[in-house]
This record gives sequence, structure tokens and C-alpha cells, in this order.
Amino acid sequence: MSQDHFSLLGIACQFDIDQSLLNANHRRLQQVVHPDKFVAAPPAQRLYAVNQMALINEAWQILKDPVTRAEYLLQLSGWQKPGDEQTIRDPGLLMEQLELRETLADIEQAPDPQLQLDKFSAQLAQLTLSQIQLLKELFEYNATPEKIYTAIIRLKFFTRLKHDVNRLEEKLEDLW
Amino acid sequence: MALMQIVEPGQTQAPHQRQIAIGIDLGTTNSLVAVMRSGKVEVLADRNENTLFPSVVAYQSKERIIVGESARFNAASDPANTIVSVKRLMGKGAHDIDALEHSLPYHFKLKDNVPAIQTNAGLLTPTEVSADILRYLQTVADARLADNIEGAVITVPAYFDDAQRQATKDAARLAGISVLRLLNEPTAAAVAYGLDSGEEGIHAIYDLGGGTFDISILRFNRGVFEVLSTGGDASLGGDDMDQVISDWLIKELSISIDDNPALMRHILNLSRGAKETLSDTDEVSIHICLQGESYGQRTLSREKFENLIEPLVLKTLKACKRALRDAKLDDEPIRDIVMVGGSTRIPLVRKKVGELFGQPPLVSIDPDQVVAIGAARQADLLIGNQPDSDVLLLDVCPLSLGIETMGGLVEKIISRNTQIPVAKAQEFTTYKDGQGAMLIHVVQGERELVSDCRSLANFTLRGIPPMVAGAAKVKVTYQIDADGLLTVSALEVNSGVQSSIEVKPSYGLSEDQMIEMIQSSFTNANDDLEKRNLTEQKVEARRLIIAIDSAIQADGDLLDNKQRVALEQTLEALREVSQTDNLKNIRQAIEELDKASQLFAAKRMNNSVSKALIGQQVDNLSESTNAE
Repeated sequence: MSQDHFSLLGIACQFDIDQSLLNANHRRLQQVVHPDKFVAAPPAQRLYAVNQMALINEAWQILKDPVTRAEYLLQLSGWQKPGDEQTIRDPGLLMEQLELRETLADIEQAPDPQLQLDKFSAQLAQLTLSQIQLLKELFEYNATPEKIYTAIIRLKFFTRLKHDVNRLEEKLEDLW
Repeated sequence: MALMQIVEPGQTQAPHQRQIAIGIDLGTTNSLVAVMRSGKVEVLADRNENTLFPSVVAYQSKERIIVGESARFNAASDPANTIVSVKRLMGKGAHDIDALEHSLPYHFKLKDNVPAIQTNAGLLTPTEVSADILRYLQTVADARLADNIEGAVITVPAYFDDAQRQATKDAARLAGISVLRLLNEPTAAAVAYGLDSGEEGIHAIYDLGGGTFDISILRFNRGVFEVLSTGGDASLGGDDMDQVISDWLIKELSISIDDNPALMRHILNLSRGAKETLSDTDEVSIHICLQGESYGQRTLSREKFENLIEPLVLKTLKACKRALRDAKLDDEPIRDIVMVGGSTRIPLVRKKVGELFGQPPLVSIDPDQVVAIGAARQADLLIGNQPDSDVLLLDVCPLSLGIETMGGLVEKIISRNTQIPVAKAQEFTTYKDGQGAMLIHVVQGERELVSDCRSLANFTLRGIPPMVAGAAKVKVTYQIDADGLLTVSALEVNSGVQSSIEVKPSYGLSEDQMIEMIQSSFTNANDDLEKRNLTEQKVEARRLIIAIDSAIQADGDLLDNKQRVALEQTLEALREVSQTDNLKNIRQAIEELDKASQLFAAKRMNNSVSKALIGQQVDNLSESTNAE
């Protein structure tokens, strides 16, 4: 099947998607394609079901996450990801990352870490939300792939930072 | 939906013949088997009306293999030949052997690169021991059920990794049981409770059994069970509680248990009894006396008991919190907590779990039976006895799967809690000029270093044509099926060179070893393998004929005339040959029909996929029109 992920899941091919339609369609497809519906079917049909379900689940996984969805859209437009994504050329972005990381590192030593962490977490959620909004606009106004990609990198960084926030939260909770 | 129901037998056969499929809870401490009959689940009992069979196998000799309650009596006198808690050994690899030898009363030796136990009946792998338990459960079921058992749903802890799932499936195959699906235990428990009441919302399944602890957070919504997160500890349970009581007794009474495994086993048994009694009473007196010799007596109060086990209970609560966080519930409330496993009868456990979740847990179904009951329901559904049901159990993969990259680091390919089945591909490249081969090392776990993860399999992609470093494009694909079992393949994109492996992990039995083991188990049982094969193939042929027949009835118009005639001819060929006793011909005709029906299968699937989506888009359109 050479269908793209959007049409496979029956939603419009754009960044600003209807999440609930995506999830509802995914559910509907699972109801007809899941291998459990084919336990007594001929082996050919069982195999086909497993493969199709795997394809659909993977497409859903990519589309439901704004980072992977944005990257997938760039890829669809024929744009090639630069080789080493580690290098960030934007000094402003670099500074912001360093500062946020330092703040997070300090929280662990702070006298009231849980409170500080909650605050930081809320700030990060706000940043993430507005970055997704920015991506939405960039796609809408057909910004250059390079511009979009830079925005994706920032969002990716926030996602990773969120991961570290969760880790610290776990650590703090384990102390009780 | 009706379109896809190809499991109902077609008009050519007896139309409403019900199929029998059983649910098996293959537990660490106890195992159960249940079946659904006329809308009700029945937990099956043996001749002595027992339904809970200790997962214990005593190997007295090659001819005398005892399973269940009577085997447990053997444990105190002959621990080395009495295998208990074999589930803990499932999927262990060669590198685990020293640790096992140290902590268990068995003598281990490698067999086919798997730690196997030296017994009076020979050297046995955990898979073979489990197969003996499964065989026993099958005889219990056979004695109670008049009909032929078509297949089974077997439950596994959500925590089980790929190696353990594969080992479980292999055990079933050795026992001659056809596995419809491996089902996560917590999902089975939710089925036992949730589907009847039909309540939607978030469910937490707290499963503290004899040997494992699992916490799972599930969402039930519009007939779909979705596993949001799982967590737990594969070696924490009632056995550990017995152990802390034993340790306390041994210390209190200054007993020396060195070189006396029988005494140790005896004290553990007494401890278990005391633990069970304390669920209903405030204190219990324990008198240690073996073979006429008395080792002393102590009274254990419930308070002291609770002090002893509290660290274990707190460990489970910590895992609960982690699972809740992983589930990313935001502010969605937990609708209820399902209690599973004998250890949830302990008042302290119920109290602490209730406190953590802020509500009393559900305990109305016997916590020992709840998993088997859910498995039996699911087995009945999968075998096709409830064609109108929308219920679908969706699972996630419990642990991340990755690949080793430069410097011993793990690159994750499928993250944990991804819905399965799933396939994911990632591209890698060579790091040396002219590099002709690439080693693919498959690992499982959450950590970043390969050395901290579990190694599942190794294979090498060879024949990469000479290129400069970084020019080759090796696409590695991980595919997980509905049972959570993994297949990995690698393809060099420019040249088309490829290689793949079904991850029969480090532990792995090859197909040949498997056939050999099945064969040897039959020589033991004086059965005739040839005859069994023939029967199996005939059943398979019948199934296939029915399935394709009814598929043609329903969707034959998806094929053009030529395709349809060709398919029907292959079908007729199988029908004819399946009347004979020629095993080879039947097998060949089955393969041919399967091959001939591939195109048809694809067409039917695509047809129903687009129907499902068209329906949704129309629905949605009318909704939005209404809104405007």
C-alpha cells in the first residue's frame, strides 16, 4: 500500500489535525483489521491482518504526536532531514536550552523542590503549547522547510525536557 | 462489521456448531483452567473438586510425573526433583545459570543454551516443565468437557518480555495445545469484571500473586480495552512474604537449615499456612516439627506479620504510582481497582491499596479465579462464539525494544507502551569503508547502555556491497504481533540484500529442536505422531474450507470471474484430497489454497477498511453540518 499515513487514517493531510477524528478512525480501523478478529480465518488473511494493523498503528503513532507529525509532513513534501541533527545553529535557541536545563538542575537542590518543579512544569507546558501553535501557523503560511525544521527542533527539546522533569518527579517521590 | 465475520461456519457445514476453547491461567504458584458454556464461565475442577492446581511438578522417575496438589506433598521430602514456581524460570538465558544455581534447590545444566533442571526424569527446561503443567490442565478439561477443545487463551504477566512469552507459547505447543492468544493477566481480570457491567472509564488492576506483582492501568471505552501503562516487579509476591516469615522464624528459633532443604521447604509451607490464617484471625501459633524432631514454637500476631510484610507492600505502591504517571491520565479519575491474586486477600494489602487510590478495591470475584475467568471469556470470543461482539482487547508492548549502536548504546526502535501489533523501521549505515557485514543486536529494556538491557537476539546482515563509510543504507524493521512476539529484519536498501530473524531469543528453541521434543514426548506417551499430524491437518483443512467458502459467499463479487473460478478450483482440490489419508497431499493442498486466497484476503480487508472510514467521514460530515 503506497497510501500516506493521513489518507490511511482518513484525515486531511495537514499539521492542524482533528485529534478526536484521528483517534475515532483509528478505533474503527482496529475493529475491522485487528488480528484477533481473524483467529479462525485462513492463514493468508491472518497474516494480512497483522501487517495491516501494524501499518495502521504505526501511522497513528506518527500522526498523534506533533513532533513526528511535523517531521512526516516535511518528509512528504520531499524535504531531506539534515544529516546531523545535533548541531543547532541558532544561538538564541542554544542559550534558552542551557538556561532551562540549569534551572531544572537547580531545582533538585532547592529547599522546596516539589513546588519549584510544579512551577517549572507549568512553564514548560505553556512553552510547548505555544510552540505547537507556532508550528501550526508556519505550516499554514507555507514557511520554508528550514524554518519549520528549526521550530520542530525547539519542540523536540521541550519534549525531551519534559521527560527529564518526569524523571526528577519520580526521584522526588521515591524519597518520601 | 458483519462483512468481516468469516468465522461463522458456512452453509455447507453444520451451521451452529459451537466451538469449545478454554482459558488457562498459568500461574507462578497456582494454575487454573476455565471454560464458557451457555453464557456462563465455569472454573473446571478435577476429580477431588479442586479448581486451584499448584504449579508444582514432581519428577519421581521418567514414568512417574506428578502435577498439582500431590506433587506439592513431594516437595518437602524431595525438593531437588520437585519443581515449584517454574514460571520464574521461563525465558532465562545461559548467563542466569549461576544466580539460579545459587538461589534454588535445583541442579542446573545448560541444554540447548538454556538453563535446564537435572531431575529423575532427565534434564528438563522450564518450557518442558510448564508443558507438563499445561498437559495436566488439559486432562482436567478433557475429563469435564465432552467436546474437542479447539484452542486456548493462556495468560501471562503484562511484565513478561519477549523471551518469556515465546517460552510460554512453546510450552503450549509441546503440550499439544493450540494457542489462540497470549493475554495479559490484568487485561483478563478486567474482562472478568468490566465487560459484564459495561462501565466506561479507567481501571487499575492490582495483581499480587504468589510470585509476581503487576499493576496495569487500562482504559475501557466503547467496547475497547486499552492498556495505558503497565508496571510491577517480576519477582515479588506471596512467596516473598512466606520467605520473610520463615526468615523471622529461623532467626527467632535459631534454627540451622544448612544442608537441610527439606526443613527449609517445611518452614516455608508452615509460613504460608500462617499467612493465610492471619487474613481471618489476629494471631497464629506455629510449631516447627519435621520427621519427629521438634524445632520450637512461636506465636505470630497479625501486627507483627504486618510489620514484616510492610516493606513488600510499599514496594508495590511505589510501582503503582509510577504506572499512574506513565498512563498520563491528567485529571481523569480511576473508576475502580480490581484485585487479583491470592495475596490480595491480606487485609493490609487491601487497606494500603485502598488508601493509595482513595477508594476500596473490588474484591467480589475470587481473586484466584478472576484471571482464568477472563481468559475463558476471551477464548470463547476469539473462537467465534460471539460473532456480534465488538469487544477488542488492545495491548501495548511492555518494554522498549532497541538495537545496539556504536559505543554500546541502545537506540530505541519501539518504545514501551506502544500499541501492538506494530512495525517500525529505522535506517542505519556502515562506519567503515567497504564494510561487508553488519551485526544486528536486538535488546529489550529502558536503559541507555546495552549492558543494562536484556539481550534478545543477534544476527548478521552479510553481503553488503563495498561502499564508502556511511553510504550503505540498512533498513532494520521490528515487527511485533498481537501476542507481543517480535520479528526483526534487516535490508540494505541499495543492493536489496536482506536477512531476518524471528526472535526466539538467546533462550531459543529452533524449529528442529521443537519437533524433536514433541516427537520424544510422544514416544514416552506411546502415542502415534503420524496419526496426530494427520488428524490435525484434516481439522486445519476443514477450517480453511469453511472459512474460504463463507468468504466467497459474502464477498465473492470482489473477485473477477477468472479469479473466482481459480480460487474455487483450489478449494475443491483441497476438499477432495482431505477425504483421503495422504498427509503430504493434504498439507500441500492447504498451502496452495492459502496461497491462492491471499489476493482475496487483501481485497476483502481493503474493502472493509475503506467502508469503516467512509462511514466515519459521512457521520462526521453530518455532525459538523448539524453544528453549523
